[in-house]
Order: sequence, then C-alpha cells, then structure tokens
Amino acid sequence: MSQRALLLIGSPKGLKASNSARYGEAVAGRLETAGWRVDRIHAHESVATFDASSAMCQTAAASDLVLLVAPLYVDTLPGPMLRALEILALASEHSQMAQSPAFCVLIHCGFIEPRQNETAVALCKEFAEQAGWEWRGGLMLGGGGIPSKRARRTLGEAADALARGDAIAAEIAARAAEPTMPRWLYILGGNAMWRRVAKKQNVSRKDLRARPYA
Amino acid sequence: MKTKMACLLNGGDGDPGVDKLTDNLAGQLASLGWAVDIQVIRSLRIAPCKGCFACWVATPGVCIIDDDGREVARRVVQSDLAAFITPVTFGGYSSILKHAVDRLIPLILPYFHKVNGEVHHVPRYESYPSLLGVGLAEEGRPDAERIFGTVVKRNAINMQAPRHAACVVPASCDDPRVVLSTVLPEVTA
Repeated sequence: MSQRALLLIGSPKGLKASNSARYGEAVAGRLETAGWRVDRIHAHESVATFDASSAMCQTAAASDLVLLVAPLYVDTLPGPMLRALEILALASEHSQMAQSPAFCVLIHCGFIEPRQNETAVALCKEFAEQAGWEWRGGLMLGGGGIPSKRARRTLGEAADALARGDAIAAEIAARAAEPTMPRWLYILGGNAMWRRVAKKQNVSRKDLRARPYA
Repeated sequence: MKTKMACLLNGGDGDPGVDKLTDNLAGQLASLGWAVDIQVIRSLRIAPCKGCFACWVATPGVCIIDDDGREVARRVVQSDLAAFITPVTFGGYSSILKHAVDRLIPLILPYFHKVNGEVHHVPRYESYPSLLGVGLAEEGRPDAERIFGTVVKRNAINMQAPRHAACVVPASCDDPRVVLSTVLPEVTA
C-alpha cells in the first residue's frame, strides 16, 4: 500500500492561487512521483465547519506525513492555520486519531531574510511536541514568492528526503535560510513594485501614506 | 497631563483564566492612572485577513473587510499601550487573538526599510503603542514560554512598538499581580 501525505495549505488564497500552493505542489508532485498518495486541504476551509474539521482530522490520522505550507503572518501563522493546529492538537489529545503522522513545515515570507520565519517554525515544532507528532523539520523561504533556483533545488532535496521517510536535513534547511539577493536591491525593487501596484489602483504616492486613524 | 490609554485585547476563549488576567491587568493600569479599553475578541466579528493587500494599495490604511477588525486596529493605534492577553498556544497567541492581530497590518506601510540589519515595513503613523504580551500557560512548557517571548519581541519590531515586554503567568497562579507588576514598568514608563 502506498504511503500517504496530507498537504495542508495555510494561505487564505487557497489551493490554486497562492505561493503556499506553488511551493507545496513542488514537494507534493515529487512525493507522488515516488509513489505516495497526496491529499490536499485548505486550512481556512477546514476550520469553517465541524464536518470540514472532522474530515481534516481523519485525513491527517490516515496520513504518514502532514506537510504544512503557510505564509508568515505577523511573525507566526495566519489565524485560520493556527485554528487548524488547535483542532488537530485537540483531536490528538483526545485520541481521536488512531495514529499520529509525521509533521514538517514550509513557511515563506515577504521579507528577503528567510530566517524571519524562525518563530513560526518554532511554533510548529512546539505543536508537534504537544500533539505527539514526529517532527521531520522545517524549511524557511523568503523573497515574497520570487522564483529562485535555490528554492527549487531546496524543495526537491527536501521532497526526496521526505519521500524516503527521512527528516529534512539541517544543511538543506540552512541553505534555504540564506537571502537570495542583497537587502538594498530587495528594498529598492519591493518599494517600486508597491508603488506600481498602487498606481494601477489609482492610488497616488501621497494617498498610499494616508493616516485614517491619526 | 493627558491620560494615557491602554487597549487590552482579551484573546481567551471564555476560559476564566484569561478573563481574570485581563481584569487584573486592567486594575493595575487603572491604579497607575491609565484609561483602559478592553476588547474581548471572541465577542467581536472579525473575519480572517484575506491576504489581498488592499489595505496597502487600494484603500490605504483601512482593511476592505467591514467588520470589527477595523475598529480594533483603530483602537490599537490610538492607544499608548497595546496588551495581548492570551492562552499560550504552541508558544504563540490563541487563534482567536491571532485573527485580530493579522488584521493590524493596515497600520503599517507596504514599503520596506532596514531595521537592525533586517528588512521590515515602514511605519504609517507618527507614533505607535508599546506592546505587552501576557500569556497564560500550563507549567512545564519552557519552549512554549521562550517562543512566546520571541513572538512578542518580533511583533514589537513589526508593529513599531517603542517598548515591549512579555510575561507568562502559570495557569495555577491565583494572584498574577506579582508577575504583571514586574513587566508593567517596562511598558508604562
């Protein structure tokens, strides 16, 4: 029987249009090539109803590995993703899960330093500890979803390790945690991008700095 | 002299522990002469952040979701001290509180600058509240307590807080005044 993984996406943009989905699929696709069955769940939908929460817990319990992929939101996980972990921890605590899956995470952020995700990864590791799930490691990516060769290589290496049933090696995680471009360049390019996006919305540079609650 | 304002976000789920902590903190602040505004997040209507960035590039400074999340953001930025009171959840805030915290991003600008060698967002307002994190936790979870302190410290950077402090009160503690009184001077000075 093939091994099963659950890809748990924590971006509000869901299973199709998010960077989380793009990164997650890079790992999931590789697991599927290695013969794994991969289920996909959007955390925001899974916490919306009791039935969806139950289905998430059942799928997690039937999985050998849960891979959480989420954007960094104010230094940790988005609220609904955190709610999903609360529900999964509760299900584990009350033995509603016949077996505990292994757990790994990929957190990505809009800053150039992947290490700004460290707190979120630590929180996920603490969840694994409390839920009694085996920790298989955390990856951190920065750069706001800008594609990079290093990210692609890292995801591939991590997926290969996970497919073998191994944890993500520390050296793979450490390689991913280095910025992919100089800070000054990221700041310059990022600020120009925000001005461009605002202009498309007919928002001037001055209006973009509005202080409605001053 | 203008009375200082504290905005307390109660992130509890109805468990009396967090409510008691909130009341205790409110009492201590009042005794110091502060005005206190308590927001019980579980009783508010706050949808999750959609990650659309409209609050940065379409309706600058205001979230496009028209619910209580907007009002919480307004109250936070208009205060001198924001306190997040929460059960420590895997080292972070409860999901109830986190829904409200995620909706605070209209308070900063999308632009980037460098802070202590890292890229962070530029402030939108001239001044911001100091930040106090108060966690309620089961004893014997040192990693969770350490993570909680880091979360508050990182939040303080990203929320432009001039001062910050964090403390974890054991769930078995009958009188949290001692713990709170050790951190309050760090954010009320």
